[in-house]
Amino acid sequence: MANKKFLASEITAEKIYHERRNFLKKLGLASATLGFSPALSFANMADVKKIPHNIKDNLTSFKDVTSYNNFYEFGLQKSSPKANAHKMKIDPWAVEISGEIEKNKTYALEDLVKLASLEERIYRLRCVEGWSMVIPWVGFSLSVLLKKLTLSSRAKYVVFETLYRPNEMEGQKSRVLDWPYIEALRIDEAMHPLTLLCFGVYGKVLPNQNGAPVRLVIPWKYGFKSIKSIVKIKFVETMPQTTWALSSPKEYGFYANVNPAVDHPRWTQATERRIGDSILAKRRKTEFLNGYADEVGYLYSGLDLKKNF
Amino acid sequence: MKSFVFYNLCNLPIYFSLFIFLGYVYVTNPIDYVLSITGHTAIIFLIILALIPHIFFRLGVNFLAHRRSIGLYVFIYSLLHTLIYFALDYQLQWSLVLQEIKLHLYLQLGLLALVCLLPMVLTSNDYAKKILTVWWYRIHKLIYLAILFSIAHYYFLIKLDYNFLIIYTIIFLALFVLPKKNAQ
Repeated sequence: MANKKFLASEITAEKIYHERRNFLKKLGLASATLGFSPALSFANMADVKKIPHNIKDNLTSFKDVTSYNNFYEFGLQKSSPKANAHKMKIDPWAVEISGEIEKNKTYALEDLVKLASLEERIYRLRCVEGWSMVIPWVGFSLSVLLKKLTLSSRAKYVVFETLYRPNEMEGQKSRVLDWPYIEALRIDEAMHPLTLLCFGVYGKVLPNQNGAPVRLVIPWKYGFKSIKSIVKIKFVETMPQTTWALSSPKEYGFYANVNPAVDHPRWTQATERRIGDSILAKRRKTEFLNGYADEVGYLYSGLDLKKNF
Repeated sequence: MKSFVFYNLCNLPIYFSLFIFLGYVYVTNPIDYVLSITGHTAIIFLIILALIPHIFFRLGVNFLAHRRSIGLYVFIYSLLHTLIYFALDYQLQWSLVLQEIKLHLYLQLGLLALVCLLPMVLTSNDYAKKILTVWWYRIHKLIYLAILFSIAHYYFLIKLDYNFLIIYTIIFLALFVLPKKNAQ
């Protein structure tokens, strides 16, 4: 028996091996998400409800979703957010709510995430630059939060603000945009069930570069409307100035609805390149409202979308 | 040996692009990335070429042996850039491409830059230089127009990241300020 190097008792049973792996996995995830609020532990993400959808396209890989980002707070290159976003501290995190509302309110992240059970929503994402992805987000409808608040009759728009902390977000040291980043929606757009208050992606808590710990996802609008790392929500009566519209009013409007019939003044919006497609694949035809026209088209009936781009 | 180094250096962006297209180097958006590599390379080579009489002669660097090659490389990279756009990004869907060109200034400017290169490429041989005499120099002044159109092409394409644009523009403007010294 000279060849026998192990005793049978030394070999880990498969079951125990898997238990250990799971434990290590959880540990690994915990350490990978150090800095995350305990409220967003993986346990929360594990019982995510899968929401039915009719997207037949393949999901964009986790690697692409988390390494090809426009998050100018962390730099101008697509690779900058992944390289620099780890410096952003997201624990503790709170969202201040104010404006045309009965009483101002601040939600700690751990309370915010518990407002409803988390759902996995697979959405198309169309960037204003002409590329697109298909992403499994995790969160719940923004309307869940809005319904908890008592809005005044003057609340016509809802404004969102990203964290402003130049020491941790080095892109904010250069004035390429007017920081902090501001985005806004009409109340009826914000109340639409497709508008997602998002805490995770691919069954995991959001990586910093994707807008941790809480962001919006509005699948029928160009990506820049889906504001990341939200710290403030404010209800206002008149249409607010938003960051891109302020930066270049002729190129970026308040609505920013995906619309193949309305080009960006400098480039096309008729087609898009799907990230992950072969280099021999054709560009895809961009769909009106990014393919969500049946769900959200009524929001814009009677609105001239060429003027209100 | 010197030539071997020179040509391989000039070919580097081609090698790198090939690695990307063949999947040896992973980038998320390969077509966009290679369009960017070939575009920048073309502009950079164009600017180096224009700088030769202004700077390099003064520094005593003799680029004469490679001047024509650099010029041809500008054309090769511009052509690759254009072909990748037509053949890969638009998969030779000509009606779509024509529509794009009709609608968007950055594409028209890019094509104008390419058109400016053509007379210079066609007259880049010794024979043309000999028979065209003074006209040869006039034709090759098109390089300034080619740089102008290339920079404008780039300006109308980019969003927010103006770093390269600023560098290119400063060097382009410097060409009109720096005294010129012609090769003997």
